[in-house]
Amino acid sequence: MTSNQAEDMDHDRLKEQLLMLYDGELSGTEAQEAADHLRSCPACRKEYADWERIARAFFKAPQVHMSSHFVRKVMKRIETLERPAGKKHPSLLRWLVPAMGMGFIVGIFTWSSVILQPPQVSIEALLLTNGRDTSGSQWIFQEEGPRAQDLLTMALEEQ
Amino acid sequence: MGGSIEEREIIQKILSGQPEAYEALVRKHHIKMVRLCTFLLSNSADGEDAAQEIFLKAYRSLHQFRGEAAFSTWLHRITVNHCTDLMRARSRRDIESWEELAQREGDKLNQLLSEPSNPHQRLEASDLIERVLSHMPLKYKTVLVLREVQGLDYREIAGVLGCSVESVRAQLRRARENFKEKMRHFLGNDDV
Repeated sequence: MTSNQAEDMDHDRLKEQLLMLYDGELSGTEAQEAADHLRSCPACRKEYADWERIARAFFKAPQVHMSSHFVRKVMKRIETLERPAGKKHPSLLRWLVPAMGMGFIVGIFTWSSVILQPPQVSIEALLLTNGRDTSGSQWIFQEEGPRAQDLLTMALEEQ
Repeated sequence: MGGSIEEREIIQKILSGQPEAYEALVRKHHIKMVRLCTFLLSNSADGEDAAQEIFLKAYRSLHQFRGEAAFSTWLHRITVNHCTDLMRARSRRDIESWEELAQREGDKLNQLLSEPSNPHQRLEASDLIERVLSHMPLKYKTVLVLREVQGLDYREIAGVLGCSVESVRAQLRRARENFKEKMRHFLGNDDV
């Protein structure tokens, strides 16, 4: 290793130490050595000063705009977290929700059975119209056991 | 490091059913956390909202705090993770390129760097500062903000980022080189 190479390595090491000096991470003889180098090396002095300027311009005395109610807002949200509605009446909710769901299903079923049921006509009404379809809708015979079937057969036989 | 006795007592109170005790922790740390969020998100408007979420997140996870590090370090870790997630979710499509920014705002950057300690200058340039910081790689910005803004030492930064002190030193060196390279044109060649 030439003496120039050795000097370069030492310079790189000191350059690295200057950043630690800036950050307050050196003490004792290491801090002294870095400070001495800073005084004697113009290139390192400029690097050091450049960073100081950048840091002061972009990172120091930050302007933080914040609401004066910050703490109150956070605590209000924590208060809300701590008393969820479900905790006060857990047993009531445990029964109320399924009961409401069941009621809803029963309601839908009842509604659909009333609305969707096809029109019905009695055998007597059918006989009065002599078997003709006068309403244009599809008729369904009311089931009344064997008597209804007999009446229909009789009516057809009479024709 | 290690959590302070007072903070550990407060945490014990909260965990044993006194949520109102959390107010002391919020009051103690909120300014630092809002400032950290503002810098990491490079947006003062989002900083406060993010900090609120972080205090809620910390409250919900308080039972996981083991007290090996200071509460402040733990809170910093939650903040860095939260802001990293927010930054990754943000679209970068609308952000101007560094070249465009440097060209358009060159005069202001020169002025800012020539009088870096002038508070009026900084106030006027606060939007520009946010835009410049938004061009830094997130990893570099995080380590620089933890050191330069929050004033954490290498060991504390290592605790927040979950890496070694040597890694923190290397990351800081690279982050500063990256920033200086961007600013080289505006720093001039004056001898010091």
